[in-house]
Amino acid sequence: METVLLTIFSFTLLFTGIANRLNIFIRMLTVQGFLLFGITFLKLTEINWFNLLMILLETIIFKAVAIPWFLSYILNKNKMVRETEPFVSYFWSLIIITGFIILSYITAGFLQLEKNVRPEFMVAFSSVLTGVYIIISRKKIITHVMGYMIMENGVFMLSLTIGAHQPMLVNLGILLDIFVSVLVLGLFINKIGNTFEEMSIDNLSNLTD
Amino acid sequence: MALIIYFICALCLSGITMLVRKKAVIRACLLLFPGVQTLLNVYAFFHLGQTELTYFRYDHAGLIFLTVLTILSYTTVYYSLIYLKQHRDNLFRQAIYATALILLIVSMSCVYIAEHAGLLWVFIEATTLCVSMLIYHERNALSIEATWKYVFICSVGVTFAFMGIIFLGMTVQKNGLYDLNFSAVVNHVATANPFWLKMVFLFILVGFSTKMGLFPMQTITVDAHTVAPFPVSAFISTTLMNVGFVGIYRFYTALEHTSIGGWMSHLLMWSGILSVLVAAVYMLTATHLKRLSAYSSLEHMGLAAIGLSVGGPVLYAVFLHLILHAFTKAGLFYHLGGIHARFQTYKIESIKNYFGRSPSGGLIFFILLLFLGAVPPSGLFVTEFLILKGMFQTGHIWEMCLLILLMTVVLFAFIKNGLKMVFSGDKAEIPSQKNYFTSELIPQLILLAAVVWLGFFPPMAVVDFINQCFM
Repeated sequence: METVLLTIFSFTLLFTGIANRLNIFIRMLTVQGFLLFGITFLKLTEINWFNLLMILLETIIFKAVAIPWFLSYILNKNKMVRETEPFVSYFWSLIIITGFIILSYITAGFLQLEKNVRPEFMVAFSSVLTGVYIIISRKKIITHVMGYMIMENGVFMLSLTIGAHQPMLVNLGILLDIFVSVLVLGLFINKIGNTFEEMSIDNLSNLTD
Repeated sequence: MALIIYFICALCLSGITMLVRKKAVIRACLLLFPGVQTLLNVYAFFHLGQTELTYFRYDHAGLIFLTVLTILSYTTVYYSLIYLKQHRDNLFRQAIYATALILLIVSMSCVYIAEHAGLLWVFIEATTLCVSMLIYHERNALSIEATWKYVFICSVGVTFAFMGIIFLGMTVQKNGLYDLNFSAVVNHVATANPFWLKMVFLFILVGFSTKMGLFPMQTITVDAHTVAPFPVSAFISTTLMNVGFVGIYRFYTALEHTSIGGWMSHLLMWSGILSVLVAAVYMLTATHLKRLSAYSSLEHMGLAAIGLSVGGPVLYAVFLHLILHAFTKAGLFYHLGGIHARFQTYKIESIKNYFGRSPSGGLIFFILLLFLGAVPPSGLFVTEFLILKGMFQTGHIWEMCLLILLMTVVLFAFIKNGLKMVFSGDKAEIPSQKNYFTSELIPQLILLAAVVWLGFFPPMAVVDFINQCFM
């Protein structure tokens, strides 16, 4: 069952590579939130029920509902629909993200992980790499934030592997998610939207030598 | 117990500042806070080596940086009051400035004394959030750009560092340890898979390089130091870069005696050399005074990384270098604030005949630039000499020659721009400005004197204290 959820997670990563409309990213983040809820429920069986309940609630409420809602609120307020032409075309994005999944498989081999942990590590690491890749290859600032969210989902999955004995670290990871994305990035995107016409990084290139 | 009182005092002062937005209250809270910070510092000295609240520990390395932070918090608050009076912002912005400054000092203090890897990470993230409010203080288009880049890239960097901490947790969990305090981790990593340890250190280095400003991640710190208000620039280009250094230093010493020790040292050496190279190249063509100073910070952090990688007795020079650099660079940024108040610009080509206009200011400015270029009365000469000597003794001859060449280029950039600004140009070209009040220049003179004293005539107590960090 867990392998099915992880496979669907990898499909969402590939789908974000070819997304042009911005609400696709938000839908993928919601799907990933629900998948993470399922994976957490199946994976963290060794900690006491109270910590497990907290982590599950945080996953569902923040990753699947609150943050996608907040991002779609920003999209509607600034009337953004589509991403502009990216630096790397969608065809090559798809191949590169597939390459990341293969790379994380090789890395899992080098790290000599146990067989039952490998699929999870693979998907988590490829999610981090995909998130960084989306930040690099897209122009709009809001897409950078969504790439950061995808990276955060990958880090959350990595933290589940030690979450059995250190649930505090898992909670810390989610807190980071909430603070950074909602409070700071959301507020600043509003300020940037007020100052500049179009929120792409072409406008943010004035500080040079 | 004392830490809890410290947190409560800081929260009270910042809360009062935010809720009661009167000019006198903001100034009073800002002036009271360095006193609270000094009390924590004195308490930490009396409880050296003890653990507090399980996750904090007052060890020697943390205490050195905490003392530097306390001394600089006095001068930063002093110059912040001058800055706020000059700028006459509305009271809401002043309240945010004061609150963010207090919370920034608290977060930085907690990073220095944190013992648990996860807690170190939490407070480094807290410093990012506090600093973003300060960088954004002037609220023009350039500030937005620098703040956005700083917050976003620091968040990505901090996420990478979190991954490094997770990998460290996974590594020690195989040996049966479920605790991430550094003193416990050191004993359990000797037998770990080297590839794991390399991943840990790589992610930590990339993540904390965004804070320290080392080579691949130096762009955001340079931009941030350029647009922030000058007391904040002084603070963050010294103590905040020390925070990044402490993060890297803790993990480096935890993993030093494993099989990847040589690999880590190699990585740090080349990161440092590339930082100095980038700094030297950009300083030659710099046109903005604060950018010139920000690249100089990059150069000194590169030197600290190189010293850390050489290791051994050179570590004394690294710590002393960071202390003296903090004092000198803070003095320079405070002085740049005075230059801006008089010339209304930071562009190098617009500032002429500074010495003719204001002899005291011109003299101090030129001495500050020379001290940063490590010319002999400066203590930085001693520390850079010791680092180069350490490189020679451990066989890094080619790297040492390259470094000497690059440091010459940096000194040339400083002297070229300094001479142009201080001595050349015609008096009649600029409208008249007022001379400096003595009170504005005295803290800078004290910092300069401290740099000379600690470099050339350090008291044995200070030398012993620094050497005890790595016994």
